[in-house]
Amino acid sequence: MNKEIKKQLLLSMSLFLVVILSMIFWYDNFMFHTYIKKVDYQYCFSGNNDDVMIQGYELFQNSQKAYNGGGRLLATENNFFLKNDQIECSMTFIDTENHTYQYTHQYKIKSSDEVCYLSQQEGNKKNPRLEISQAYMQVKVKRENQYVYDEKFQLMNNELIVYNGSNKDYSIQDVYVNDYWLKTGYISSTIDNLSGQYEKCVVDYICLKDQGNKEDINDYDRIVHLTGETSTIMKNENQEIYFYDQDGQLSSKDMKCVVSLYKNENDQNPLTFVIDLHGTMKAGVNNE
Amino acid sequence: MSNQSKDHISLYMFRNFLATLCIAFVAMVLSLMNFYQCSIIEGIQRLLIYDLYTTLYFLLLWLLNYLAFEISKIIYDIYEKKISLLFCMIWILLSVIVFFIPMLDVFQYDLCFLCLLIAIRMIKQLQKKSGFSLFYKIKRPDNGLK
Repeated sequence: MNKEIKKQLLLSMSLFLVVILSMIFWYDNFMFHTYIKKVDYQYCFSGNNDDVMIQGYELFQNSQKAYNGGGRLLATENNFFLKNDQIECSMTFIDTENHTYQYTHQYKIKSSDEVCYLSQQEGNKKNPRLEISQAYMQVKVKRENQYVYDEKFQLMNNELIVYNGSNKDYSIQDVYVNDYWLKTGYISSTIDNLSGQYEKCVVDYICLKDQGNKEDINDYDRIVHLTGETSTIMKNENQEIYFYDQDGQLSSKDMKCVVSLYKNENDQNPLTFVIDLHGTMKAGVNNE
Repeated sequence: MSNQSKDHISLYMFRNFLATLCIAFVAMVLSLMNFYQCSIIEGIQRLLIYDLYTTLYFLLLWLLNYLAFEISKIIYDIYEKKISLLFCMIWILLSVIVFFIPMLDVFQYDLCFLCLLIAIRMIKQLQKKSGFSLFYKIKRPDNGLK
């Protein structure tokens, strides 16, 4: 073996070792940031006719659970929903393999013209690659034991954008956003025993005001406020839904997450950091 | 070293860079597609724009592939006289065996493609050395068709 080859081999070997060691060192971090909690599908539907409008109706499944519901139903005219009316919403979804899924929601109006928030119903797990091609909603209004309204209309599948963000130790994944709706994501950390170190956790989702300065945190509006024990927040068992009713589109705004970790209830100097949310990956399919 | 051979070295380096980049890229995208059951476009998005740490790890994997390939070339040059087609077969066999070793699928795909690349390079070198042809070629008549 001549000297030149020996030198080349030695150099390559040492570089190879450095890269291997770096990869071993970064392996956990790579796993944490790359192979994250899996969502099988996330759909968000909206639709309306001349009288009623539904927004944010979800079909969701991940490795733990599957559910439907969670939207809000509004009347487009005053005094359409009256106190003590019984609303019956029947949802029909047809997938690309022609399987039909039907769900029914009941809601009792407590005060006239109130916004009806439909409950989430846990269901059986379906094909993780479910593709909904058609969706309908039938709304029935029962007043004094008589049906006074019975209409059916088509639902549109709203295109969703998935926002994600992370720093070295914390990550927020799968924040689903469309023009008028936001579903909070999953927060996770590489730090073992985080709940032992920090008792309380506050997560705020903030979005940039119109003509606000991106760099100035005071130019952001707080849209979702999550607070609780760190262990509960980190379990990510329940996601919050936010409806954006202001002008403009929520999906076109800059969003950040402010995370504050408190050692105890009286902690005056919490560990606070900002995670920028970014990403434009589209989820679901369009219902044309 | 003449200018011409320097040009060749940069060309070979670029080719190896590109080949190892493709290997790392395909391995990562395949792994992401498997895990998320998503399309190739979404897999590429997840690799390149979703998270900086994923992208950096992909670059590390690429660098690892490149160095491994360079080391294999140097070792081949050292033992050139002893290497036969049997060694190529061993590399090809290794590319299958990696799928039976319990590790993250991205490394399985990556090692499989890398072993195949090394085997292909070895076959090419052996072909150069011995002059055997892998493909049957019809010899063109010297002076027109007969």
